[in-house]
Parts: sequence; structure tokens; C-alpha cells
Amino acid sequence: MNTRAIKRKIRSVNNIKKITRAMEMVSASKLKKIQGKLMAIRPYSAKLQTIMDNLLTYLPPEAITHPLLKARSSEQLDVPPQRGEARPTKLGGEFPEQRTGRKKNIVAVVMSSDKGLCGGYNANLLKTAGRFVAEQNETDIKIMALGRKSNDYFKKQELEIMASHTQLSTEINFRTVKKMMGPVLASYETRALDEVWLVYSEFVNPMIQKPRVTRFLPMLTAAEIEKRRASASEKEDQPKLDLPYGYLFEPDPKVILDLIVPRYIEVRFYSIVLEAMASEHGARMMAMRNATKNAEEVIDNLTLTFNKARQASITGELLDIVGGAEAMK
Amino acid sequence: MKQFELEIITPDQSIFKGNVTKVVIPAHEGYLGVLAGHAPFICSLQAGVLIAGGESTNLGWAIGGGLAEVTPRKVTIMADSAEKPEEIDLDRAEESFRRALKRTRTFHPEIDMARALGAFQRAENRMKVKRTKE
Repeated sequence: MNTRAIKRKIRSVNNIKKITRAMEMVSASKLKKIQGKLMAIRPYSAKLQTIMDNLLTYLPPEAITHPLLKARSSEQLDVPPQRGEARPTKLGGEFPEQRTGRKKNIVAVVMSSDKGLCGGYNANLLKTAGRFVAEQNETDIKIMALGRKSNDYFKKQELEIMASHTQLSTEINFRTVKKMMGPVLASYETRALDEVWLVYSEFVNPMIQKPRVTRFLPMLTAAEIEKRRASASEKEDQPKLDLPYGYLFEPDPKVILDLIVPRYIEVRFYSIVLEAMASEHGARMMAMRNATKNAEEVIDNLTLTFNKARQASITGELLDIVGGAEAMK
Repeated sequence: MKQFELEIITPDQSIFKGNVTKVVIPAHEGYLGVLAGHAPFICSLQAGVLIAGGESTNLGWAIGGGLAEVTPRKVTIMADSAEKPEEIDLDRAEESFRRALKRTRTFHPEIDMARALGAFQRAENRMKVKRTKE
């Protein structure tokens, strides 16, 4: 390679380095923004959590009736949905599929990014999601895609995509996420859906993201509520006031619980969406940092080659001159 | 007067945290005044005006529903939304107040009365909050 070609190459790698560095900075600032939002909901969600824990532990089981909270037993799966149009039924007033027990309807919310250039973030996540979907032989699974990558992936697999939301910006707020979740919660309440699962990347730290699959709804199964109660009655050292549940409830505990449950679910969903976004920006930041480092390495190597080539050409020229002078003698 | 802590939080941000001497909460069954040392209770909120009285000034927020937790030493308002007087544009609030008023007074099948009333309520709350400031 001649020196000019090497010089041109160094310049182009240098330009790439500038771009990757800028992208790293952008991702870092986006990550910071999302982390700020995560911090901002913390007091709200912590408070909701405490009130709900108390209510779930001390309310009598028959008062826990909110459709989003109540665990469905297996018999309930055989009950037709409350609204006829939720699922097609055969004519004649019969529900033939119910006698054998219909398949469970579940939805998986897969949170990927819109854009690439973030290392293995999408690949790892979609691999996990794909594995989860492949395991669902017994159920009818639908996808709710957050991010273009997950939408494209499941479209290719020819799965039913219930809804797709792309271009989530860092200006995301509670209200937009609440709107996204609305149809899912509504169809869960009418029993058109039996379970909601989330596939997202857990944000461990900016360098590490772990793909995760968790059941989102039903929030608690009957057994889990029972376990909670049992552990609460074991430890009686909790400070108790001379009031039922430690608080007065206005209008009454059940109404408050019904008010808390949807908010709790929405806040939880919102924080998971934020976490997925934080993971994305963390992954992109790291990918771009590595790219910048690699570019520096390439530049170092090229500079060395360039210097060698330059030296070689100088040596060659000198030899020519010396050789020429020698011949003149 | 004895002071207690007031904290107002929404899912998006912390709105206020500080010491006050009295709070008027827009509870679901009507406005409710709370002083220091109140018995602990939890109540639901309706869209309304939250007023906090400090040593010398009154503070107001337009609240859009939520929950409130009261303990003898602290009141926590978990609002779905909360607007400070500085964030409220009085002209816009008045404009939407008039519009909503007109809508609630005309009977038309296409008008969603609940929504119109909601808008009316919100506009009125904003105007009230703005006035507590002055």
C-alpha cells in the first residue's frame, strides 16, 4: 500500500471514530434521562406498593375482587367470556370448545429497540422471546411489539401482532404508556386474554442487560395471596393501631383497593418500559464505546504501517541517490 | 400552629415536599380539611383543588384524581396529575371553561356529557388554583 492510500484510510477511520463517539455521548445522555424518570416514579410506586401489600394481607379474601388482581382458577377458563364478541362462538348457543376446555389466550409484550447499533441487545432479547413463544404449544399467543425490531421479527415468524408501538422517545411519560396498555388491560378484564407476559431486558448496570420473561397478569395467583397471608400472621410484631388494617378507609377498603390495583399495574408496566429503554441506551452506549476503542486501535495500526511505508520510501529514494552517485564515479 | 409534612407525588415526578400547617384535600366525598395529628386514613381523591396552608401563604394545585394517605405526622397525596399555579395559563383555562360550559348546556346526542362535565370541572379547578395564588 502506498502512503497516500494509508493516509486516506486513517482519515476515514478517524471520521468513523468521531461518529461513534458522538453516538456514545447521545446514548449516555438518553440513559441519564431515562434513569431520572425511573427515579421519579420510585416514591409513587413504593407508596402504592406498601398500601397494596397491607390491603392484600389484611382484607378478607372475598373482598379481593378486582378483575385485574383476582387469580383465575382453571375452571374459570371454561366459562365463556362476558362479552360475546370477545371470542367467536358457534351458532346454536353452544360453546363446543368449552367442554374440552379452550386454549389459553396469552399475549407477550416484547420490548426491543427501534434501531440497531446496540451490540447484542436485540439479538439476545429476541432469542429469549422466540424461545418463550416456541414453548407455547398449549396456548394461543399473540404479540404486542414495542420497538421496530420486535415487530419485524414476529412479523417474519407470522405470529399475530396485537399492537405495535415504535419510536418511543426519551420524552415518554406515564400517560403515553398508560394509553398503550389500555387495550391489553381491557381485554384481560373481559377475559379475552388469560395471561399477559413481558419480555424485556433487565437493567443491571449500563454494561449488563439481562433478557427476562415474567408473568405480568394475573399479578398474583390464589396460592401466592395465601402465602402472603400466612407469612403476615406469623410475624405479629408489625406495629398495629387500634384500627382495622391500621388505617381508616374512605369510602371503604375495597373501593381503595379497586382504585390502587389499576394504578399499581400501570406504574409497574411503566417502570418496566423505562427499564427496557434504559437497557437499550446502556447497550448502545457500550457498543459505541467499544467501536470508538476499536477505531483508535485501527488508527494506531494504520499509523504504524504508514510510518513504515514512509520510511521505506525514504530509504528507497536514498538508495537511488547513493546508487546514482556511485555510478557517476 | 403545629406543622406536619406534606408530600405530593405523581407517577411522573415529585411535585412538592415540605412542612405545612393545614391541607384541604379534594376527597371523593367532598373537601376535607386535615391538621397535624389527624387519625391515619386513606381516601380516594376526585379532580379538584388541593390547598396547603403554610405559615403565611397558601399553596394550590389542580389535582386530577388519585389517592391520599394521612398519618398524624405526614400527608401523602398520590395524584394522577397535579398542576402548579405557575403552569396554568389563566386565559386558556377561562377559554376552555366557557367552551365546556357551552357544551354542557347544549343537548346533542353527539356530546359526551361525562367528558364535557369533566372538562368543565378541570377548567374550573385550574381557575380556582390560579386565584389561590393571587
